[in-house]
Amino acid sequence: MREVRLVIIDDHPLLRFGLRDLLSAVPEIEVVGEAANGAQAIELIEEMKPDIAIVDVDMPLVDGIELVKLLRKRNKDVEVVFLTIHKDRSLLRSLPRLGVRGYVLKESATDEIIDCVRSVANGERYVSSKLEFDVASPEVVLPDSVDSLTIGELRVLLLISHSRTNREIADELRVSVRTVETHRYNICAKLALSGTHSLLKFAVQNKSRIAHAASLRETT
Amino acid sequence: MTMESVRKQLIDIRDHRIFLAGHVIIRGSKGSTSDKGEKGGSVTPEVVPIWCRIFSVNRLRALFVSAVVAALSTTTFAVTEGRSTDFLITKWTTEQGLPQNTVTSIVQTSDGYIWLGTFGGLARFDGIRFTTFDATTTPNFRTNRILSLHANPKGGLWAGTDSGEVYMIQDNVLAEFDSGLDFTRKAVWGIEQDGLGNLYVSSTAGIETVALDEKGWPVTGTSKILTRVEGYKLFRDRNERVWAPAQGNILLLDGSGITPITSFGYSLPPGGYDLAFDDEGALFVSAWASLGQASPSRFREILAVDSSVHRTGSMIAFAEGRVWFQQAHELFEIDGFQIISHDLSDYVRQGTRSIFSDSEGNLWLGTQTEGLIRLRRRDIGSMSNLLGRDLTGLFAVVQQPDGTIWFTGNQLTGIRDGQSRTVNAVTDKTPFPRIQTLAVDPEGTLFAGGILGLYRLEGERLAPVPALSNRNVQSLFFDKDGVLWVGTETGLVVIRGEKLSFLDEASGLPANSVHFITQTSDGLIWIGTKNGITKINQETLETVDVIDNLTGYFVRDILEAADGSMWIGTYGGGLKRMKGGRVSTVTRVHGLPNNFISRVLVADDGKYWILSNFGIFVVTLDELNRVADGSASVLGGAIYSVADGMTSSEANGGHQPAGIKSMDGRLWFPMIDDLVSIDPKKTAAISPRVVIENAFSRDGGQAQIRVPLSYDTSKQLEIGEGVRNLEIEYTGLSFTNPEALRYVYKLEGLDTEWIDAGHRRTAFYPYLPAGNYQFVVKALSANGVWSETASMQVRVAEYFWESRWFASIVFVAVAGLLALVFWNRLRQLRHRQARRAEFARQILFAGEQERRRIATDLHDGLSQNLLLVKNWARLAVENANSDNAASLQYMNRIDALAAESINETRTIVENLVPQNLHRLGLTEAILNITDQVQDGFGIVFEHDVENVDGVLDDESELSVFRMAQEIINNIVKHSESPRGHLLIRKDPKELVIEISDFGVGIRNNGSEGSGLHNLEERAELLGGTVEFDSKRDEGTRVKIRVPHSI
Repeated sequence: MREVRLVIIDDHPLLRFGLRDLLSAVPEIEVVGEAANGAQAIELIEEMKPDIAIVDVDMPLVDGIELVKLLRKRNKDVEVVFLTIHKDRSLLRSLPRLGVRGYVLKESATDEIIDCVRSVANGERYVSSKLEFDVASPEVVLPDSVDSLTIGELRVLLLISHSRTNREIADELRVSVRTVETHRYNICAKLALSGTHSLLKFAVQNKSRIAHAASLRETT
Repeated sequence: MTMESVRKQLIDIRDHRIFLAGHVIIRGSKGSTSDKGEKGGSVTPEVVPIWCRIFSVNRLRALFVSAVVAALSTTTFAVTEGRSTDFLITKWTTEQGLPQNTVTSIVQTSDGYIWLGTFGGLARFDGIRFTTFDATTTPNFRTNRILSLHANPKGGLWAGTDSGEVYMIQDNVLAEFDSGLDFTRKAVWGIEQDGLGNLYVSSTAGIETVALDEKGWPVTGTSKILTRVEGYKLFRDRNERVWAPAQGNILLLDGSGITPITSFGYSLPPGGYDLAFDDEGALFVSAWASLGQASPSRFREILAVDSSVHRTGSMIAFAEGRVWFQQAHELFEIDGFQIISHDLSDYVRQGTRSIFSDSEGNLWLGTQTEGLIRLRRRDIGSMSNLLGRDLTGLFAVVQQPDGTIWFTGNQLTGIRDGQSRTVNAVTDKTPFPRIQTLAVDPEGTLFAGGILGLYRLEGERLAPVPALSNRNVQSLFFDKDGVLWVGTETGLVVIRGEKLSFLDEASGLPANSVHFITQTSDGLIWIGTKNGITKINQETLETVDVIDNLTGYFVRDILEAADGSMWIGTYGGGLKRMKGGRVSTVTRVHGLPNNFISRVLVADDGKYWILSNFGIFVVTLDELNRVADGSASVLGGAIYSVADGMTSSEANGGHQPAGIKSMDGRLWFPMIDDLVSIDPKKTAAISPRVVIENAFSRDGGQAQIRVPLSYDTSKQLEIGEGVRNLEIEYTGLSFTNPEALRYVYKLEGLDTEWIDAGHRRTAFYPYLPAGNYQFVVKALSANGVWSETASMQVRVAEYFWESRWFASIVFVAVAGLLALVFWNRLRQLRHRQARRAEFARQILFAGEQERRRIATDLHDGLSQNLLLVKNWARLAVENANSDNAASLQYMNRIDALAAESINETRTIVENLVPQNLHRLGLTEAILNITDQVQDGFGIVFEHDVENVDGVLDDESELSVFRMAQEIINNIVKHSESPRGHLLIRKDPKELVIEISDFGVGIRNNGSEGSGLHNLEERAELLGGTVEFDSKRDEGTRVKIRVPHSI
């Protein structure tokens, strides 16, 4: 395996030393530098051109988020792994747009940090298992209940899952808006959903399953 | 024997093998009783007393395991669970005035203050108030992120920041230290001084040294760089040498260079290091995955550290004779071969950055993100804590000549040398009675009186004394001749050898119910009854005197003082003094906790300890006498109660003796559910200091500048003419129980008496005539010790209103005033518009402040409580019986609902305070709202977004963010739209944000209307516009334009 060149950016020396010892022990990883804040990190990354930077989110002067923005502005293609003590859902949502592929908690097991570095080196995304659990949305209904819908209702549901408005659905299916509203009402009753948002949320979250059920029904 | 030695033996397992016999652990190496113990669970009573090793239930397993392990190897460490009740714990966060919740460093300066380094500035702490010095309040301070502190023995305070500045505060001056070297310091992790007077500064750029002069100021030209290796914290050993962990080694620093510890043959585990030196010079190292003791021969691991936890903050320190190590939620106390782990999860979860022990022995933890914690070892020993079981209904306590302390309740328990024994059987097979009173005869035999009669202890059982069977025995007393006096509910019984005599109301007692018996130095026997006191001749048993003034009082205790006066504790009537035939009374009005007094003891230092139903009061005899004489109205004493770690402040009382002084000088009191012990030697040790912090006048704008350290009392405070009032702030420095400090002060030259300020820390004089004064103040600690006084000279100058100088000022002022009125009117008109806008902005700002406050309250209060509810529900589920399915189901529901509520609260907090705005920037923060809406409601947003971070100033960004938030909320609430569109664009002169939906359009209803009005108002304040374009059933488009100057 190709060696992964890595830098560690964290303001706490103990953590940095420890992490360096930990990661240096992994055969395919080479720790090529360390920095104590975002400002030093920019110079370090320009000089060492590492594959991956492990970055503490909370640092003095230039913090982790600021650092990533600066790196992207300067078109540095280093992969970034965030290491933090905070379980921050907002930050998690923004990761794709910041171009950050790894997010691990400082409290997670050392194996997880190594796993994360490996995954990111292979171009995959990696988020701490503890965080995934936090943001996962629970399933709303059992798959079977979709079968109780009529073909008309299923078509409406499919279009709702594509974020269409009632009027757009009426136009597309060549029915009246009133008919679409009736279908919505019946779908909610059958799936035990109450309120506009819960139907929409269900439809968007189960988009592929609805599409699958609809295509089955259309062909039979 | 002391409680401490009990504890010590409890945890010192090296010397003794321990055998397990049923539910009883018997120590084997001492005495001859080990064989008996090994027989098994049912220990048969024998003449040889069976001593049980004292253990708490949760400790049993750990002790057993450690004993087995210890038997196998002499160098193995065993971790034992500590008890949550070992400490009294207090926590401070930003809620209580701490500037910021990351406490990087803690020191105590020689004037007595505790100083804290935080990422929100430097804070001076007096136990109650935090005074913050940061970039906004303190000139010269450029950063708020303090990383290290050093209290110099010469009196100075040094502070290092994470951007490389080093400040020193000395002689009321704050200065920045400049080494004069061509060296750019970076994050300063450590500042420390060695015994030779060299100061070291360790930063990530390297380690410097400078020599300090006599007064603690750096000597110019002595600065030197020792190494450019990245430095971390600095640690001082007992020989006052300074050590610096640096990249894989530990460096010994001296004025001229560095020596790595490995060159002394030391071997070290991998990782960076925190260090602690004990008082014998041993070096303890906390490394990445291991904590242990380093020596030239080898590294001996004490504790394997979970490195995943370790990374989130941990610290090691030597304090109070042992090594402390804190990480995550655990505090380890390492004492010899025994490690006690204290679970602090109610106070800290993310670990600690600093550990410190103050001059009074309190342990302080500066946490990673959760504020400041004080751990105070209990002054008051608790028997239930020591035995690990609940005690109830305790009445009396005595000590045998061999040191055994016996106390009563539903059983009779004795403790000696860290072992306990329990007596709960009677020799004649009758049920074990409630024992209320105890006494020891001259040979050392224990006598016990209870509701069914009198007993003597024989082996492991109580043997009834037949003559007194079925008498309710309430008090027992052996006089100097060994005569046993037995006070019962129905009269007094005197046992002289084989001869018994009976006395009751018929033979002259004021009441049949006898509760206390004692003998005075003149040989007379004093009998305390439910209806006063009678004195009896010890030989003839004749009544010598009935004390008329005490008739009607329920007497519970009688004490002869050294000066010959008698002190009598009564039930409801307070404390009585009899002196020269006169009775005077000390009550709650004078400062006693209440009027139900069951026991008065005199400690070795002469202080009086008074047991009441509301706690234990300690006071000098002088103070008591002054109040009894009528020459003082307030007792200067202290109360020990639940606040000092007692489980209850209530005494049972009414039976003899309700408290004793044991041979080691310790005081023992039976409380309603515990036997408490107090070591007066320890409690007396703390004497507070008092400091005048500040003095100023509120008249005429002549307020003194607030000084950085304490007020320089060597200077005279001059109050100018026209100023007559004076406010003086002072504080007491004692960190054990600072809330309980009381103050008295006096302005000599004005006040004739000391003024009792209670807990107040300000003296206020509204009008001072001209003249010279001296202000003096002193503090009284919780345990009744006065501080030295602090003083300050004050001079008030005479009025000057008759001088020519004053008259000319009046003339100029009148002329100037006319001009001013005209000019001011003009200015008013010109700025009215601007002020109105400013006012609106301030209202918005106040709103933001309020939101922040609510968010903090929700986060710190409600959320934490919900978390507790959730945890308790989980605990209940885990501990539930499987046969109670319904309860289990409800518990699971509580758990689930609490989890949901925690999430909801978190969302509310996020909405209230847009932290994302600062963390992620405006563009990303708005995108984040649309993501949330998509996750939460299924409304899918398309984005057409350009990065506009930094285009507007912070305040405007917040306003724009709020507008976007409002618009997107409206889409969720009203539009019924399944999707939306977000456009953010930077035009040459303005920022454009356009948010559209495809829903029902704006309908004219009230709530929506006010929301739109808010948007318009915000836009106007920013000098921008907002446009609405809405068509019924087609959707709404809101376009915000805000001018920018970039």
